[in-house]
Amino acid sequence: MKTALVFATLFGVVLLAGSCRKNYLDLKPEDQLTEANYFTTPDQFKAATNDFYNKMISWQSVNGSSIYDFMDFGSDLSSNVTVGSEVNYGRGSITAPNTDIYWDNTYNYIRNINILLKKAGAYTGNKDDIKQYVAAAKFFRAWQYFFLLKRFGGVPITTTVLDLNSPELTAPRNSRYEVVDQINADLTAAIADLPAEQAIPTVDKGHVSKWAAEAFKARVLLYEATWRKYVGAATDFNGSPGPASDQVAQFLSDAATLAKDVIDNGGYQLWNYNSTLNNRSNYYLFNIDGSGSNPLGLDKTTNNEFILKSMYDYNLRKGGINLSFTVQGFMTPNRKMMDMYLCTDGLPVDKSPLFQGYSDVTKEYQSRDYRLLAYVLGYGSIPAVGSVTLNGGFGYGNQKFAAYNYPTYRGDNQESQDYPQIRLAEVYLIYAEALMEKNGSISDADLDISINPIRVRAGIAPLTNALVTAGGLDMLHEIRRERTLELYGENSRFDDLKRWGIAEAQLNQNLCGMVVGDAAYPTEFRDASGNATSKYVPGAYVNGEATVATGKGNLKCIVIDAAANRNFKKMHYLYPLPLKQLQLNPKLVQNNGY
Amino acid sequence: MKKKQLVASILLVMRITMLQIAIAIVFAGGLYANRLSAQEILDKRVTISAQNTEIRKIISKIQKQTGVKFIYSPNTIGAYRKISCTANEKRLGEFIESILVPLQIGYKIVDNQLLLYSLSDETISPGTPEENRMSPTPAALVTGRITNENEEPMGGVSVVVKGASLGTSSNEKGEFKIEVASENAILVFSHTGYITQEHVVGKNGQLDIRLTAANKAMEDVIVVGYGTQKKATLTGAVEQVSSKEFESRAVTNPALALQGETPGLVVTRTSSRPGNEAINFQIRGVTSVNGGSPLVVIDGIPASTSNAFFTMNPDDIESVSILKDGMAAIYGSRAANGVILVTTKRGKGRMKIDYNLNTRSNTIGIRTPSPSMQQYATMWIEANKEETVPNYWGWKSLDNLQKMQQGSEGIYSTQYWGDIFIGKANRFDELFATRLSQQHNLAISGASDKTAYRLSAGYADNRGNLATSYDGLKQYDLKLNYDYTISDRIKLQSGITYQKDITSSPSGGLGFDMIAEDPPFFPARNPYGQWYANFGTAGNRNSTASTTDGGRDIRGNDLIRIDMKGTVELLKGLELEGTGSIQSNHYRWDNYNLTVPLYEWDGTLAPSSINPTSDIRAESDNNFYQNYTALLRYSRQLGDHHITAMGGINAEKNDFKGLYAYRTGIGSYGVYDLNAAPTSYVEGTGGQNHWGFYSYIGRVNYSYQDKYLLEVLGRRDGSSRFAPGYQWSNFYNVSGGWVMTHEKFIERLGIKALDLLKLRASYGETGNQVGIGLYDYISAVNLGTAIFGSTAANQTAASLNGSGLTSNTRTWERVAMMNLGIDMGFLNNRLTAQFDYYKKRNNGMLVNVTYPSVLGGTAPQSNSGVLDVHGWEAILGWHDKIGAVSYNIAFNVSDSRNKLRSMEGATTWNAGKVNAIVGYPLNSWFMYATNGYFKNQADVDAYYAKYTGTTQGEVPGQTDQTLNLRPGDTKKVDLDGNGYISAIGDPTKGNKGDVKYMGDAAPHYIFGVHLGASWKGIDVSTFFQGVANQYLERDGTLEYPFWAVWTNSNTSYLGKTWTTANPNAQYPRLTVNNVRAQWNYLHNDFMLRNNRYIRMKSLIIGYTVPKSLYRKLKIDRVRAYFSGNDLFEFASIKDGFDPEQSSTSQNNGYPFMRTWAFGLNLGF
Repeated sequence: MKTALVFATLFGVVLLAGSCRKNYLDLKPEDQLTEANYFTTPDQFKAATNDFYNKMISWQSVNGSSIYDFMDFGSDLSSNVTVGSEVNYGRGSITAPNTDIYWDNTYNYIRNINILLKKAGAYTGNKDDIKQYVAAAKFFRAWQYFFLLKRFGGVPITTTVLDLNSPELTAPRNSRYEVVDQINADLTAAIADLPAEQAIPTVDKGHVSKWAAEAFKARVLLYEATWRKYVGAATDFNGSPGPASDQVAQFLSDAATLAKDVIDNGGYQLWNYNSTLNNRSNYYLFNIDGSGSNPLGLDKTTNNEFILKSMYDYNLRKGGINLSFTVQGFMTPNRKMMDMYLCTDGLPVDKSPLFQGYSDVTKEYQSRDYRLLAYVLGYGSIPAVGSVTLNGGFGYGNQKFAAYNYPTYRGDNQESQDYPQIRLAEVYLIYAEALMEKNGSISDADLDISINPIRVRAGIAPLTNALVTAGGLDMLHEIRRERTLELYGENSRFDDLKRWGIAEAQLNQNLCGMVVGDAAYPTEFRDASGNATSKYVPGAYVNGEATVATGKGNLKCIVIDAAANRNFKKMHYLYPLPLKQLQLNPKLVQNNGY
Repeated sequence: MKKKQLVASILLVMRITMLQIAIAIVFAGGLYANRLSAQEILDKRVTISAQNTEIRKIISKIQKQTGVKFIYSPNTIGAYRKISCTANEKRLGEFIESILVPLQIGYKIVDNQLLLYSLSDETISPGTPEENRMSPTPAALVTGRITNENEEPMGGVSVVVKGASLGTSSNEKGEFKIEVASENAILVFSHTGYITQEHVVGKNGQLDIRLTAANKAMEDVIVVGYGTQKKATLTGAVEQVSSKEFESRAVTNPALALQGETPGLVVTRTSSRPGNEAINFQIRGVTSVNGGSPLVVIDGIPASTSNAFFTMNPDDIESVSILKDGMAAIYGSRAANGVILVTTKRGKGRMKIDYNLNTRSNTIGIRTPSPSMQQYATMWIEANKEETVPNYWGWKSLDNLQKMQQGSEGIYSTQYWGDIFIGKANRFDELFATRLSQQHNLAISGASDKTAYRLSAGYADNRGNLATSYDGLKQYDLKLNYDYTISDRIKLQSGITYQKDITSSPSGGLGFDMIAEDPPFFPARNPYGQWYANFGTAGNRNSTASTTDGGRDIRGNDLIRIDMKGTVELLKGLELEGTGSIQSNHYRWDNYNLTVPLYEWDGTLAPSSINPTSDIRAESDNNFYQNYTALLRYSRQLGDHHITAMGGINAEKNDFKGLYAYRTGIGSYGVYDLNAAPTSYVEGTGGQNHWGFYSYIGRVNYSYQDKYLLEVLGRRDGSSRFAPGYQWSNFYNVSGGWVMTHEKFIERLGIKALDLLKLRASYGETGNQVGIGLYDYISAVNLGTAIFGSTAANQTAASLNGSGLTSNTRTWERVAMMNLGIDMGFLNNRLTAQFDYYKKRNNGMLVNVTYPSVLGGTAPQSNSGVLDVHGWEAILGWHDKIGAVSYNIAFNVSDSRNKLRSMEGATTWNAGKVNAIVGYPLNSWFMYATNGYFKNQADVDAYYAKYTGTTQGEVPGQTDQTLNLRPGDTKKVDLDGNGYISAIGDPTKGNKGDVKYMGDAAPHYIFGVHLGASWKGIDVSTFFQGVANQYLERDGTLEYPFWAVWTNSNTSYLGKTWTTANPNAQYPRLTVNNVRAQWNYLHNDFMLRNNRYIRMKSLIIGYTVPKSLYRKLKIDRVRAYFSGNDLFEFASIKDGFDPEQSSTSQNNGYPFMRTWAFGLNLGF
């Protein structure tokens, strides 16, 4: 009897234990959603695309990105030789790295986009409910591939969600032409399904619109058309196939058409408060960050110029970088940039009678492009005579992107203005350049609906064919000048130099600072006997001085970086592929020269 | 009749079933844990009448009658001798005492079994006992009292007349009485675990004996996981540390008391700050590139948090067992790094009250680098002497530095910070001082027929050396172990534990800012008594201010644990044991950072402050852990065969729930709670998770005459961490032992000195859980935010974790371990030795396989790595007595080496410490090969010409004249001959780089030395611990001079660097240029040093006051002692960092302490 009881007990224990086994083993996450139950509602698709916006490179570092790698530091316009990876790039002083986060991250973003597209394919609801998000995903896939194209040229294309044994992992590079086709295809599809800006509800402002996609496509087309025109296949990797057809004219024509559509129908306007902001719109536009960011209390709702932006907010998403400090100290212009600004009569400094020269530090600011004042001085006034001492500094500052009243209103890491990804001014510039490149000429009427509104805000005379003729100017050069000045610091200069095929010529010159003159051209820094004044410590400049062409002929300037240190070559038009990727996929071919 | 048949057939079935279980399943174990008390066994009644019968037959009869198992080796005890005896309802104890003990047969109760052994050193001849029993006529009566070393009475000591079979044993008061034939008779006093003594009776008939403990190692019962085993029949590599090692140690954390105690377990810490020691355990070296530490099991149940062990009262610990080899496989998937089994004390004997207290003075040990103003300036001046273009950085001029070098205080004009006051300031002396700590433990314990109890309470306040505010750990421990015998067959054991710990520290100021960044000349306060801003307007650091006013960080745990265990004897030899344990831990973290305004020297407010945004955060986590076990234990002796088996089921579940909240802008108003901060910025997060295990365990032990030993054990683990269908895995271990000294042929050799020679071997496979997440197989959605809207607002942003790549087949790392061991005892076990050799292979190590980035996601780790580990451990012990002085010496040493055999994916390396590279140990050093320093400019020019051709290498100064190398700079060697200097070269071209392998970073030849002696009431013991080989390159800002201009200086290089006058210096020239400084120092072969040390871990000097002085006070025991920790050390590297500290230089400013404690043990 007792033994039976024992058996019963044992049996009971085993039975009880066995039956509750799953209570210990089948445990699912309790504080997280899973893939299995996600992507079932339009809102979830929206949430998934929302993530893509955060992956555009802007102020805040994302997975190690730094906006300082994308502000044209170290370009031919810059006097910064220390901060940002582009400084060495501009000097042609880079080698193939083991890894490159801009390769790794971008493919990660593309994977996430491909996941969304795959899930959209499996979506069982009304596909119309999610078509806007599918379109947005395609827009961002194009965005990321364009990023790769600019940096590396042709790259492997993946449009599906890869697995660990997918053949694409070890596929060879696609050519740049295939990448461009992929970008165009995605953008065409995106444009069809994205809403017009006007149809985007207030609470969703900031989501990508049809116009944004058109403007971006225009950017891509102009970029690629001019690249093929001026650079050609010179940078294509060894073994890369060529283009299926010569698409240059078509690209230029499409770029102009798309730009025109955005100009005519987008409803965007240049942000122009010159009359009440002391003509410094071009300063205040780039740091709108709550009502304290300008004397008029204008907030972000007044900005109808940014077509696509990375959004920031002082409470919800701060820039999180020492932006004002960095741009003030390192986005500084050099001699070339300073002299590139026109005088108010629309003529360059070496031609305009309005230009007053460099004998004291106030003179070169007189009768100049408002952007010179806005970028270099911000809301400050023109430096007084005797206020500048050259003892190691560059001589000029920069205020574009710097906070108003820094560091009082916004201190380091607190700046929260939106980052402009595409803005109307660029669309104007694309329109003019595309027409000019396509036709070799441009009408005054076309200039008036594109370049000239920008020049109005900059306070300089309109660009006309007559002005070009009278001034002995070159129309293409003037259009490029506008682009250079308007988009300064907005990640355009290196791309432009390369697609125009002039990077080597422009980058390998002396980077100079202020004109110090000599006995023949005395300034505040060198007196009539040619001696350094108390405002100038020549010994602080390791590279000494050089005589360069200025608005007043060839004059002595301080040298920030010597031409001898600069060795930008054709190979540098593209970045090297990271070595680790070449090891992992032997079919990847390194870019030429690395 | 029918009923009887039924019972009989069930019994038969039962036998068959049990046999099948024993064979088919690896059920194992013995009659472990708690059952009948010894007294109950001895109280069993015996009725017997035997004439001229072999002893073994008599024993067999008694066995059947009483149900008590006897274990003995017939040869040893002379069981073939024939005796006659009668007994009628006699107590078993009395029977043994009166019949067996006089026959030189001793006994001991182990695990409910009666162990019989020989009391004689000589083999007992199978003579005729009757004759012996007819002993000579008694001539003298001898009486006496037997005590142990602590003067406590010893009952049950056998007292035998040498050469005769007369004997008796002492009673509970230690008294004995025996009649002997003459005054010349010799009495032999013996007791298990004590050294046998012989004394001539003498004239006065009075003998007071004090027995000293023998090395108990071979007699000990060892906890082995789901049971215990005798050390003598152990087949695995298990070490046991007894409660003795925790006694009188002035430590509150038992982990620290284990440091160096046993050879296989390496305990490291990177700080001596109470509550912040960063203790790491490692058994037998690394097992995986993913790390992992041993499983800690307390009273049979895994500790739910590491804190549960760290904050337990060391006074509550009875023993700590360390399972080092495959024996740990009884814990399956968590056993690869070994298992630490902690057993707490339970009540026994008469009621006792013990009170221990100690109070400690913690003084400062090795002084962390803290240069004086003069030294700091000297570094700058000396470095600039060697520069072509001097760089005085912010100090502007040589003139300024020379003033500083002279120690001149005053306002200095600087390059960047304007006019600032520089004066003598010593942050170290401001921050650190001697601090007092204390510890109290009170325990009440005892046992009666039915119950056994032990109630203990502990309090400790352990403070670090911080002088500016409280920095320490307070600990409260309460524990009740209560055992109750319900009936002969049913026993209950229960345990209730409450542990509370609170670590309270300043919230900032003790990290990077303390010694790495602050030069030594900004006084903490300006003349107005305000906190002085270092670097004047530019500064925002001041560790003295931060630690005083900058806020607090308070972390605490409340652990409640309840254990219940019931044991039912189902049938003779078969027990069912059910265990349930719950552990509920509440973790609370409060942290706030207050804005501390800083002032300039003239009293104006500086623009920067400490913590410009004040904030407060709090975290509250609850962890609830449950563990249920049902075990069957079976034990059977069949002649010379002894089998024990154990098998059962174990289920575990852990539920975690957390809350975290954060607000900014809290003011310094004395109320530091989230509620006291404004609601303008609020963060709050939650989180919960759970995991579970379901396991089958089993073990079978077999021994033949305690000579041939075999053990098979296994565990089948199911885990919630894997996808359904992939949850189960099996682990096992097989081990065997051979006690050669039990062999006739060894005995015949007649080596008198040899007491024990045992060989052990084992092979097992265990799992490693590190690197396995809770839900790795599920693709989770990560939710974040993105902002949109004319009025910015958050919207949800979602993405798949790791971009949706998961694996179902990824599983535990599987570690195979082979162990060979030998145990030896000589000279009456006074000399003992133990040696183990082991090999481990982690076959299926989780490695990150690198796929082309085009994949776009994070590939799950794959079980594709193979790591080989091998090593050895040796222990040597000696104890003896010279006159009244007993002494002991023990030495242990171990080493472990590993090599990564293979790993999927690309091999990458760099200069310095490399985590994993195939063909080398984990954490290997790859240093630049160097060939002295440039002698002259020609030497430099030649170097440049050779190594800076077209390909870009690492040689600085190719394009930048400010970086040009000069005489005195390091000359690196182009090892791979590719024409340029680079750590990796171009791997695609097969370059091996210019770095060479120089050993690994793990400590080797780790040793411990125990020395102890006692004389009368005085006892002295000391313990040294050390490492004989560990390669280390200091890292961080103070590794070498001018890591950056803005860091503090490491003055240990002063006078040891190259100058024209000293071209054969130890180090290259000083340079203020950080790029060149890096070239000259960082990762160069001469920077790798051997971090050897030996440290006196503890010194204990105790005095037990003779009982005669206080016997009337009803006090049992009074002992006063001094206990010191870390009192001195010899270390090979003398750069201001403690040899136990981690390699980093920049966050290690907090000095290690030395502890000087005085304590008292009182027993009532």
